[in-house]
Amino acid sequence: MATVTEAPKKEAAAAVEKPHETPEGWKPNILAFACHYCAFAAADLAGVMRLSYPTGVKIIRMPCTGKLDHSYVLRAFERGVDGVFVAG
Amino acid sequence: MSEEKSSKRGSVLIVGGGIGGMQAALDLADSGLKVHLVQKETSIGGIMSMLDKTFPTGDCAMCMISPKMVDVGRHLNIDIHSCSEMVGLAGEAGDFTATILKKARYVDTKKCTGCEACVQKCPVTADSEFNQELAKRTAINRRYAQAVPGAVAIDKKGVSPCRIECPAEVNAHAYVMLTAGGRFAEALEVVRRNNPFPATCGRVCTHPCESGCRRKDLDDPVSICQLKRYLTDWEDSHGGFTKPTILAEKIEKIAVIGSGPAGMTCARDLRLKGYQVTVFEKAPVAGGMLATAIPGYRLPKDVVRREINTILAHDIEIKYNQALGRDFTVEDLKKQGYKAVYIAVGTHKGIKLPVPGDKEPEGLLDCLDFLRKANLGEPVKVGEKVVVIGGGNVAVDVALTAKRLGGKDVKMVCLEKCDEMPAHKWELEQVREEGIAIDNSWGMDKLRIENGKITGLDVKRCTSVFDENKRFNPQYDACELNFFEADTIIFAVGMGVDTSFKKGIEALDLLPNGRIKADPVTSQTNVEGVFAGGDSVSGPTTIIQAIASGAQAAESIDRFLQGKDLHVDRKKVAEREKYTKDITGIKKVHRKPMPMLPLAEREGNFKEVALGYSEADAIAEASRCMSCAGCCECMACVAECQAKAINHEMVSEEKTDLNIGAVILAPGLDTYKPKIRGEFGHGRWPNVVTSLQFERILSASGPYQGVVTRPGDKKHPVKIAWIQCVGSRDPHNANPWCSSVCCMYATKQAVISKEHDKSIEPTIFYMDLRSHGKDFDKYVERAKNEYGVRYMRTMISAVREEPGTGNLVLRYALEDGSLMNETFDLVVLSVGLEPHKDAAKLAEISGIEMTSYLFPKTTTFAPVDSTRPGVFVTGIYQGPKDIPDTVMQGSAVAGQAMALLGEARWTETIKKELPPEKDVANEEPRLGVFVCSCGINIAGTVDVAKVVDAVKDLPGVVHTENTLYTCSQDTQEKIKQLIKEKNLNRVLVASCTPRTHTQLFQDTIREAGLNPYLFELADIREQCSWCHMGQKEEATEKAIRLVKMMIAKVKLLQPIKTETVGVTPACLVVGGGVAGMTTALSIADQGFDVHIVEREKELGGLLRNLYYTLDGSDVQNFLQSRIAHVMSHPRITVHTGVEVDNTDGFVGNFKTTLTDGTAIDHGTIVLTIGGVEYQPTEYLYNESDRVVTQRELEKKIYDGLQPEPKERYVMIQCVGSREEPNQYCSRVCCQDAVKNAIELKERNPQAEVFIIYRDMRTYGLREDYYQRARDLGVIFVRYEVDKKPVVEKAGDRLRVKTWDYMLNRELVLDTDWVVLSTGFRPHPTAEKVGGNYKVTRNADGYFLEAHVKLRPVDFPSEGIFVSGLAHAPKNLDETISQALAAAGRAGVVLSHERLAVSGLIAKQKRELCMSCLSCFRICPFGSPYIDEDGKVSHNEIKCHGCGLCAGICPAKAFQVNGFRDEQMLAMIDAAIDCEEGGIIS
Repeated sequence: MATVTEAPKKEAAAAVEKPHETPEGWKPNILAFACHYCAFAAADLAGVMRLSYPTGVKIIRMPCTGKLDHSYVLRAFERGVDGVFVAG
Repeated sequence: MSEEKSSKRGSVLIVGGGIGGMQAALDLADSGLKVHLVQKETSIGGIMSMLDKTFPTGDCAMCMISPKMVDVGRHLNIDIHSCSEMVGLAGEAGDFTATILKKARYVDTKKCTGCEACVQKCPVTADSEFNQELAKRTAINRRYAQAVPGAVAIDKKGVSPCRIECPAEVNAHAYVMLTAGGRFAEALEVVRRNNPFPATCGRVCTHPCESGCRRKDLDDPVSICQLKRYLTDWEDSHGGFTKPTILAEKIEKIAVIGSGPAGMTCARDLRLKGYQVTVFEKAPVAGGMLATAIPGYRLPKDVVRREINTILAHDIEIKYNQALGRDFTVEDLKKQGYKAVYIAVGTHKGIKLPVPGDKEPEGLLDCLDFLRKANLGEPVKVGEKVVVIGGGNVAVDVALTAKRLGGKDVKMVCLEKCDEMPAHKWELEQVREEGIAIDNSWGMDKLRIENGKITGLDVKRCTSVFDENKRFNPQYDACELNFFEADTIIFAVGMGVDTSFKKGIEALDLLPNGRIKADPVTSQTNVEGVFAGGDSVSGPTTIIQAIASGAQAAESIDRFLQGKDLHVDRKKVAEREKYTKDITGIKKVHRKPMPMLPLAEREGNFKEVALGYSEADAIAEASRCMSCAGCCECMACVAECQAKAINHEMVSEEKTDLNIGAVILAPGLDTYKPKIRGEFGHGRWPNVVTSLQFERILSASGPYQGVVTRPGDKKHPVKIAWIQCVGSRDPHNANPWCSSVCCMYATKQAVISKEHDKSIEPTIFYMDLRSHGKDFDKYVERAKNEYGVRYMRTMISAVREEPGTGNLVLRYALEDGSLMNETFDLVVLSVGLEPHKDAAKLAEISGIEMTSYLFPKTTTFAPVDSTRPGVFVTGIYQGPKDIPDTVMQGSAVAGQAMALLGEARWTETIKKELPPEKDVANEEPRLGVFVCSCGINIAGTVDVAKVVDAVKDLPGVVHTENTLYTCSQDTQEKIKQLIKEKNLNRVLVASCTPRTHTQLFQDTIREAGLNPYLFELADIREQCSWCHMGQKEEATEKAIRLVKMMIAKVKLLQPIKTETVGVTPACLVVGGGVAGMTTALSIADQGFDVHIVEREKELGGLLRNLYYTLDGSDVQNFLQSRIAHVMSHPRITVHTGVEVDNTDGFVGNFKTTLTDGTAIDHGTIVLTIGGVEYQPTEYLYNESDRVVTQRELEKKIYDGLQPEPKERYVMIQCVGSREEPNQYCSRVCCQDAVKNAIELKERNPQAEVFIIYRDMRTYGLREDYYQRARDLGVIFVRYEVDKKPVVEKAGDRLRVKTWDYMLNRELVLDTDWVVLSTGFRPHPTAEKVGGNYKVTRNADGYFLEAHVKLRPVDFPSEGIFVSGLAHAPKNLDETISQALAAAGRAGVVLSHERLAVSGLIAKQKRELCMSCLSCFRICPFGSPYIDEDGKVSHNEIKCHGCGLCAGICPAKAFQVNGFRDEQMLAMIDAAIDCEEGGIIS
């Protein structure tokens, strides 16, 4: 039940008309909302298994992704994050 | 709850912490009984933790079991006894004494933080049991990441044989393993702990370790000796020796006399202990025999020099040319302040045989003199013809040296026969190689001397060297003489002590042979403060013996100077248990040959012959070590563990007695081991794996990270074959029973492998497809139709590997008899289940009876009771079953134990006393922030100091600090203290995952008087340091960010008050069949009131139509006694002929009105409404009285039916089952048919019985009866659903036509009877009852449990349970198990006077509600309800805190505690640095 609200994909970004130049070495800032019981546990397991992913991903724990409020996603973009990932 | 003191114990022992044992433990502990959970392995979790996914839902097994394990692990009233076994059980039901044997874990579970830093350092690897030998694990390890207890454990099996053999106790196992890992410096450090002469011993040691090496029985021993030399070679080329720091300098001076291996070892060991040591050496060089006796081609003199210098570099003083007795006395030493003296002067006097005349002839030499001169470069004259007398190692050295000094014809002459010679074989090899002759069995008669010069040697035949007592006593044959011409004769027949030192210590006792008398354990001589060792005490031995002797003396001298007892606690490695490894099946790998100097280059020089290993060879050679005893005790883990949790000295076995009231045996299962008989090539061909191995292959945490890979060559397989019934249903070769689960797990594995990799083509080869569980048939249909899994009904006769490809060719017969060969990439053997390997032993210890198959004896009517009252059996130990049935039985045994011990509840449980909570609601936030290093787990990647700096000045943060292990006991205390000192009112710990550690810290701050919900964890380990290794800067940035986000949240945390509600201690049971009655009796026995509501006039349900069971027990007797029992139980009220009109309320507080107006208050509900039998319309059932159902036939048999000879019965299976619209198996019909068929054949063997079936599903131990029916001559004919049999009337008889797939033609059977095996249907009232209680049903109309695997008798709504046919079709024993389980689950609720409501729930602000009902519709638990005023109210007791209501509510009337909108938004805001109101900074 993973929904990607807006994932910055390189290929996609290339195809779309760019409003600004992407600075050299730019790394996206991604906020993930993860269910305590599954996706958050999966992120923990990734750590236990020493699997690597970009440091720009920060996870906010939810009791269930069903609790996600639209306002969280909007607030995140408003504050300037580059992508929101919802997993649960 | 009772005020009176019970004579029963309020505790239960559970053997086995698999899913069944865990379920029982949680139920019991939650219901007020203390639980001791005994687990043989280091972690609970059992087989389920090894599985990837579960059928039929495809859920992740670990995700399901892990939270349960955490619950068990931190339950206040469950004590986990890991690494333990029950070894004795005395007493009786209610009051047992169990003896527990605990094996050492070598790790303190309380101190270990599970950081696994030690694991990274462990040099020993072995096959991982958890990964089924498909991956390696280290000797110190955690069974798997989610293990409980989370502490690591050391696999230590005693001592490896190499270590046992070394007199100096040099830990060969450890340095070989470290060498194998390329860790040369550490390896050398290990050698030097016990042996300061690694370069010397690496060349000339007699290496007893190699004689012990287990590999000698396989190929060649590991070249342990030479590896030491490699290590010193490596050290020399990598910066040389680094002087160690002496930790505690002492002022005492010690004199060591003699600088041989014994003296120097003693000196160094004492120096390491801090003493001031001076060595006195008679010769101008140090090293004793090493310097003077061993020739340079074996041990180059510069090597000895370097080695001595290394030792002296410890700041040891040496005085050369100082001889005791000549230059000084012991008295002098004492005067100079020496507190102890060690004499190790060696045996430097060569023994000569008697020589005629008083002047020594020219050309006669003694070995030591000769070797010393040769070694020190003094002139020594060797003639052309040299005879060396002697057959030992020294004689060899002498001969080879003589050769190098110009001897043209060098010969060794000795008394011994060739195979008696004391010289080592490898030494003699070199002798022969260099062209030196050996003349055996000659004794010296006399020397021939002419003109004062040696001319030759007369010898006589030596007939024997030793007498019958093995004493040296040579016998000669004087008639057989010989003569050897020689110009040089060198005696190499022995060495003795040069006793001239005696002048320096007259009081010293010597033995008649000149050796010093010293205590063999303490090295003490008769003179106080004087110790002696080495060859001067023992006579000539080996270097390693001398080293051992020196070390022994050092220990004694230290004790002597510290005033300690010299004898006690001298632990010897050799006294420990030697571990002999099983070497069957281990591949031979011969020893790496040592490169040698070519023969031609050896002549006339003393160049070293052995050239030493290269790095690659050394590693390869060390890697041959099999690491026999597991842990090698290199102690790298101890050095690495900052929590100081590792203790290699733990007592290996400890016994304790536990007093308990009941015992539950849940040891689980073992899988059949196909390797034993080499079945289907398992163990021989790498691409044949067991199903459990395949689970690990599929698992994301498995050896291939979940990528479907075959072990042989790591390729991705496309064609995969599953072979069913491996080890099952095979009475001749393996286990006769059906394992019940293999058909389903194979289907699941096929489906999951397809999900992992679409290109996979799975085929399952099977006999009968036994998918008899709830919704299993639908799963199989999906596997066939949606995933394209191919099912082949055939038995595999052979598997062979295709040469070169690693592929496997399967041979099988089609149903028409034609033989097929088909090639697959990977073969999975669906191995069966069998009783745990300890099952028989456990039964014996527990005093319970077993069946011949080693399952405990149980009955259909009491499926979890063993033959000993108070001892219950559950799970696969009781019989093969799947996970839900195991979980169900876990609750069932819990229910039985509760019924036995109900009165003693809460007598042995503990409750924490807590201080009152401080009111901080109106205080400004005062945060304490603790940033954990987690040893190096976090600090190794994240700059923790920088994190502390970055947040310490944020507003609201009062205290910030970095802690080593925040979860350790002392840090917990510190946190509590700081809360008080600095008046902290909120705490944030930045460490690991909140999933496992939140509760720990919550408890801590609660103990300091803070509300537990004023705490949060920031996960900077799993979600930062561990996944961003090697990116220190970025990981630190992220950690700072995560901590800042969490600080923003923590500042807004508010205390949460948790509510409690009272519980009415009564249960309503809806349905009075066997399930209802069993549940009622168990709950009533636990001490609670029960109301049974039965709509029929009498109790009994469907059981009234059942007469006997498969094992022949009388059902009606059982039923009558159970009804009588229910009717007479004082706590049970039976309401017959009525139904439930309405039930209201919530868990603990239900109110029910019956149709007769009776009102009942109760705390729990169990729905046992049963089912009904299908009434057939097919196969002429309503048209002929000769067409009957199995049930009707059973009644006839019970009433005395006697079949006539040739009377024919044709039974048709799956009538009304397993086809649309009833695509499910009714589970009982196959065995009912078998049961009745056996009964008919037994009554008249000449009666003819046919069973026309689709798959015979006599699962589990029922398989025996299927076998018996076949033996009795019952004929089984298979049909397919698209070619169903046809029943016609044929005169006064009937005719059944069916297609026979074996004969490939239609079979026509004229018959007297047609018997229809009809299945079950849900009870007609199920829909209404379901509606009443808001519980859902599956597509077939049976009640749907809360969780198919782990909550098989619960509903999602708390306090409501299900059992029996209402849940799904099942057998009588399964119904009774489930009924007991429901009683156990209900007992958990009823045993509490009040129920605590979780704090993390949704809170409703009712004034904001606009009654749109979104929450009401979305809530899975029925918490929001429409109140009397038509607006929505919220029942917090039912709430699980998922927050779906909060997410959907347009008015924001709902907020979830701990996840309130303002808290979430604060975190989002803190996720990125912003200008006020602006975008990106």
